[in-house]
Amino acid sequence: MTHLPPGFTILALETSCDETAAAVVRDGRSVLSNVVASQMDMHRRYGGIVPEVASRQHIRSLTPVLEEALAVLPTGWQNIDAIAATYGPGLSGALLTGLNAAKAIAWQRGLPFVGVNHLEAHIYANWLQVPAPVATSDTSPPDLPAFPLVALVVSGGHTLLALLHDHGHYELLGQTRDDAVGEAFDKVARIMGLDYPGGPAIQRVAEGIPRSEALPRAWLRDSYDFSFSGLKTAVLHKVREHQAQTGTSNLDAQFVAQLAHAFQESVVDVLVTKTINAAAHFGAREILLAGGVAANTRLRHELARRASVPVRYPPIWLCTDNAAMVAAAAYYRFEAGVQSGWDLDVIPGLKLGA
Amino acid sequence: MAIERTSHSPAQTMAIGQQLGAMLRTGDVLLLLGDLGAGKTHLVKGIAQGLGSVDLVTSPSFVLINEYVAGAAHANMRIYHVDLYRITDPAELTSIGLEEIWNDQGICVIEWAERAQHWLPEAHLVVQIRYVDEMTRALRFVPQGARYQHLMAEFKDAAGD
Repeated sequence: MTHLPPGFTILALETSCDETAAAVVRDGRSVLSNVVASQMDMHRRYGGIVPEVASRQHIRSLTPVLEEALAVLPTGWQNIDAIAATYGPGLSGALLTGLNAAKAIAWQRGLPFVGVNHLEAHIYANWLQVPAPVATSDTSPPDLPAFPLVALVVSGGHTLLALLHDHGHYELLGQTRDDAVGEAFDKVARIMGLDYPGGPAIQRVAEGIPRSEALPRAWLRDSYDFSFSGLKTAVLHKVREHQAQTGTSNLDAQFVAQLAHAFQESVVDVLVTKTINAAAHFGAREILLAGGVAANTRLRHELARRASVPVRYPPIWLCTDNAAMVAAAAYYRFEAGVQSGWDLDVIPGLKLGA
Repeated sequence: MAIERTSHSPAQTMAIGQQLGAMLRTGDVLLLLGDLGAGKTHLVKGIAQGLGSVDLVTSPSFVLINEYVAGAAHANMRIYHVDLYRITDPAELTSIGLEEIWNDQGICVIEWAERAQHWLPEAHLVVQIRYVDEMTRALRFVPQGARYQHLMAEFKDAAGD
């Protein structure tokens, strides 16, 4: 355990998927800058992320994103005490661009460097202070998440439930056995002819639908694992059935809205039930929600409504991929005395707790 | 010599995969074709089980390639589970290192292989999964090359067809 000096400032890079991001965070909590260049528009026309396009775009975006992130600091580089970057999980080519840039910066400036697990970073978005602190007479910092914690991480590539005993001490309780939640949203949206990304599209059309015919829920009893592929297939079946009945491949808006609602309800019910059960079973003091799908308002509200312990989730701009969360996770690694060597390589299939 | 099988449940799709998986050898390449929700991932779960793997088989859509390890009876060889769902241009395949994978001494199972036509090894086994109704899927195994002809003969005998 190292006590980091007050004002310890980390510059972090995140390029695991389709966002090129850089951020400067002080004391592991105060977001001084957070710049994200999204490739969403480019990938939208393909209905998903294209790896080669992603890597090329990261290389193009990195320098301007980095410069913008540093521009807020009065003395620029002089303020930076350490460097961090995501090294997995993600697309290998995309991860390489950010990791290598970060290593080069750290080496050239003689700064400590640490690689961060992207999944851990999503969880640490909950440690960031929002909005950025302003000088007030009240010197007591806003409360930090209290261990033990149960964290639900839901995104385009990941769905997992973890028990956090302390910083750096995690236990994976469950994960998806097939599709990630975000992936299921994307694929189901595609089946129903909705836009990419599927999460916001499904949430939008499902809004205002009071109830719908329930779709199946995969409970996988006696396990904290998840499964969403059966639900995806159930939606596919409903669509085929409807097309056969109406004699046209066009789906009417009312049918799509009902089905989107039923799909979202099924997903939210399973995620919320398993999370609150885990929190009760392990005596968690809080529940943390993280990852891009944590932006889903239905999931947020339902989890907060049904949980008996406080539920914490980051603002939407810190749920989706960003580098501030990487800096937050890096802070606690540096504090634990951890640093990465120059030989740190990307690990596309990196797990939580590895 | 193509072989047809019908599955009436995800469990049965897995069982068919398990039977096929047990017969696979180092260097085998399987191409999986089929719509969203056809059960491609279930078939791969079965294949990995048939190879004695205890690893969790999930959809690789996000990272494109998942890697599992076969059981001791199958020399702990690597099982590469590839998903080309997000690939639009075969030129992108060079960037994800697919060639390295099938030159390795492992087994390669590729979902959405239609995205990489003309770019994959000439000898391979095609597995088409067609949606019939909610629970029913028609599986069709089409071998290309002597190794896979032989594999299908073995697969057919094992099924008692």
